[in-house]
Amino acid sequence: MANLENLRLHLDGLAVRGAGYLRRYALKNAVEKAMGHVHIVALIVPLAFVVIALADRFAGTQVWVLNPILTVLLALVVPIVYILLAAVFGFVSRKVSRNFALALFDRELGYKDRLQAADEFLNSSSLSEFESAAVADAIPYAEKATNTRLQDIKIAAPAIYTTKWGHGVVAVVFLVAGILVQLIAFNPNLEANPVPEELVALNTVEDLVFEEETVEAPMESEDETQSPPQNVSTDRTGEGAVLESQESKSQDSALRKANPSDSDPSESMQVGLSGGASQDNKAGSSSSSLSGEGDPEKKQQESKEPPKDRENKEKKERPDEDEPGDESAKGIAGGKGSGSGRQSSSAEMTENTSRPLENDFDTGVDLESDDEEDEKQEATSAARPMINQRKPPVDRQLSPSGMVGQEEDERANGRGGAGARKKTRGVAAMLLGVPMPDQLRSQVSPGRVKIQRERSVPHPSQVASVDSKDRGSIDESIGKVAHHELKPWMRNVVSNYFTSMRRKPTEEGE
Amino acid sequence: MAEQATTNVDSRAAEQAAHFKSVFQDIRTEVTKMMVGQPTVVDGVLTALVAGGHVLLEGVPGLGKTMLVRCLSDAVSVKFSRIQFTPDMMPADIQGTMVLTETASGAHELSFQEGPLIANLILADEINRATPKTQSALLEAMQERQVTVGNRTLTLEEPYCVMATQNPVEQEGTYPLPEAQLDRFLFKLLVDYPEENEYYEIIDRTTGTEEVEINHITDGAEIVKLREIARAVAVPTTAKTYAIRLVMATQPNSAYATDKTNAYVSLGSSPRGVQGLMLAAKVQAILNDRFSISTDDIKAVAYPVLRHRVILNFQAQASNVTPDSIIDDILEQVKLPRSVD
Repeated sequence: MANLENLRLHLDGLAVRGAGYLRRYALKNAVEKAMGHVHIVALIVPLAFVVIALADRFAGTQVWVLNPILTVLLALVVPIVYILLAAVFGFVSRKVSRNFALALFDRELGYKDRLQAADEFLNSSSLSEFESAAVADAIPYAEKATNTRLQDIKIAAPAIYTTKWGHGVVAVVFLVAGILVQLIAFNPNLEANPVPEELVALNTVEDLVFEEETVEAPMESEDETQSPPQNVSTDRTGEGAVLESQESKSQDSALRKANPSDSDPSESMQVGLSGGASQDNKAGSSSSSLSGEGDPEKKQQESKEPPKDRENKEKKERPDEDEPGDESAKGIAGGKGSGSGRQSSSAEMTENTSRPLENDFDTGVDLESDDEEDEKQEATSAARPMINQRKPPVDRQLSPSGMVGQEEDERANGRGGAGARKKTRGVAAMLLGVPMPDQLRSQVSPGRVKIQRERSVPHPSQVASVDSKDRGSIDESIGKVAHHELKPWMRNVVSNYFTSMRRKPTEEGE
Repeated sequence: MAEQATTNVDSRAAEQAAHFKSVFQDIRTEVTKMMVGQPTVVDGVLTALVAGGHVLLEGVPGLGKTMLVRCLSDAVSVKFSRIQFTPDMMPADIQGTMVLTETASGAHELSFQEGPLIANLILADEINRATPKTQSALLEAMQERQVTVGNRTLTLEEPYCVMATQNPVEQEGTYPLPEAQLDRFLFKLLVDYPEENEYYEIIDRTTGTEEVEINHITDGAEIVKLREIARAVAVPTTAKTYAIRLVMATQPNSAYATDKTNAYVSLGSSPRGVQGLMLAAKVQAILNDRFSISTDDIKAVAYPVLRHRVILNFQAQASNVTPDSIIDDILEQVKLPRSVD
């Protein structure tokens, strides 16, 4: 009894200790899990800081009220608070029962559930022999467990890997970027070089046109002055850029006049332009018309020009035409020249497309010729005598025997002899159950199911002819017919039957 | 006084457990005189015998399956019969039939001629070669411990143990055992090839001039006593819970079914699986000097008890998933009761 009480005390103590271990384990486990996500939490504040700082800068608001130092502190504090909250939640939410705590000792010390079983059997009212033995068996193990300090429960290493530290670096970058956004002025050039009034006067649609012509400008500058085209794109804010933009706009309008079919909404906007601009438009139209390849005036001018200049011009123009990215430039400044270029390219296209067609046709012809050659080969192979078997060549006649106008040939078995695969024409269709090879290679058609028509050759049978003279006359007696003699009672039955049959019609007649 | 009574009870249980273990060890020693290696198979067969179950031995020919059972019957000294199943064997050939006999007075009468099924230890060799009709004749004998021929029912004598063998390779012309019959086997043991060092022992024992003689260690009545001892082993709730979870984990779409079970198992274990786990674990507990079973005992017998009760679907067969791999996954996934993990 004392042993049992001692065991109960030991088990109580072990349960308390086990519960403590498990709570600590729960705490560690919760921290471990929180550490697994903390790298994401650490990104929240810096990311929000950068986004809000940028929004403040562009919108001119002041949503982010913290100064950079407080922001850095907040970025450090949030992950720590997250870990603490997770740890507290994990610690509180973990329920530790008595059996749970004893199972910990059983597992850690390798007692094979002895403590759990003894604790359960101790609380039961009646014990069997083996249950009592199990309880008694657990006493030394409980004492041993009481005197043993349980090692710390092994938990996995914090799930922070080297790659996840990258999130911390990103967080620092975000913080620095946000601070820079707040501290450093955004674009001082805008304030130093104010936009000219002429440029401000332009509406947005013309701005779009200006952007388009910045691509076109180098071509004309090369044609006229051989100057590098960088000035156009770089000096956007300067006066030169404004003038060039006006020139280019006038050229564009001239092009639109030259091509009235091109409907552009910007035409309505050009109504309000000044007279100088309209003059420029005229000049631009003349220059652009000269540049057109399909224009007769230009052809005349080209004919007047020396051949070297023409070659140089062609060389200059070809690369521009060949550039795939300058489609807008072609469409604007090329004018009809681009149209002729398209024609030539379309001609080339037709040539190119016609070539494959021809090739296809050639390949089709080649296929047909191949087929013919195959047929020839098959025919020749069929006609060849089978030397190794010492037989005449196999006849390929496919007609069944007995047809009118054709001689019966037993060799006409429809087999082409040794050679390539048979085609579907005729031969395989006559054979039942033979998968017909399709025209496509490596594909076997299952073939049609047909009722097999056997090719039966009638064999004549020699029968002696019967002469009519040998036949007797109809009136002649056939002689005696062998028959069994009936018994008297059967004779009576038969005679009675026939006599009764004869009587009936006579009686009906009467 | 109560403590003394408890101590007496403890000592009696300890004596029973010690007796159980010593008899078990002696039988094992005698069997291993002839049987080289295969300790898992030998222990499994002995465990099934003392737990009151039947065993299905699966292995290629020549691995000593038949010899193992024959040695066991010699060591236990019970009535042994061997049935070599063939496709043309009829139920009457194994159960027995009524034959016309002549009495002493010269008269004729019908008397029942017992078949080989009426014995204590049955070796059903190549059971999958018999037709389902004949296989089903074994069902009643294995589960109900009785044989019915005509209107006559014979109760079979305990211990009654069927040890069936089947060859996994030659499946042509065989009739796979139906699930109902597979479920009646407590264990399915896989007999594998011996280890390299065991071949030397096989050569020495079987090709020499000396003949190994198997001594009678115990008899049928002793085996029945051992069964009672095994059934008396205490079972804590933890072990029950774990066994139930394991069996439920083999059933697709159950509460404890793993992903692999849901994907590959078409039919899981029946409640006979839990019974088998408990009985076999009890024997394991006594052999491990314990009076109550633990979850480790259940784990130890999970493979032979559950592998033939897990019926795989076509997808599993196509993916080469075996029942043992399913049990592997279940043992890994199913948590112990009150586990700290």
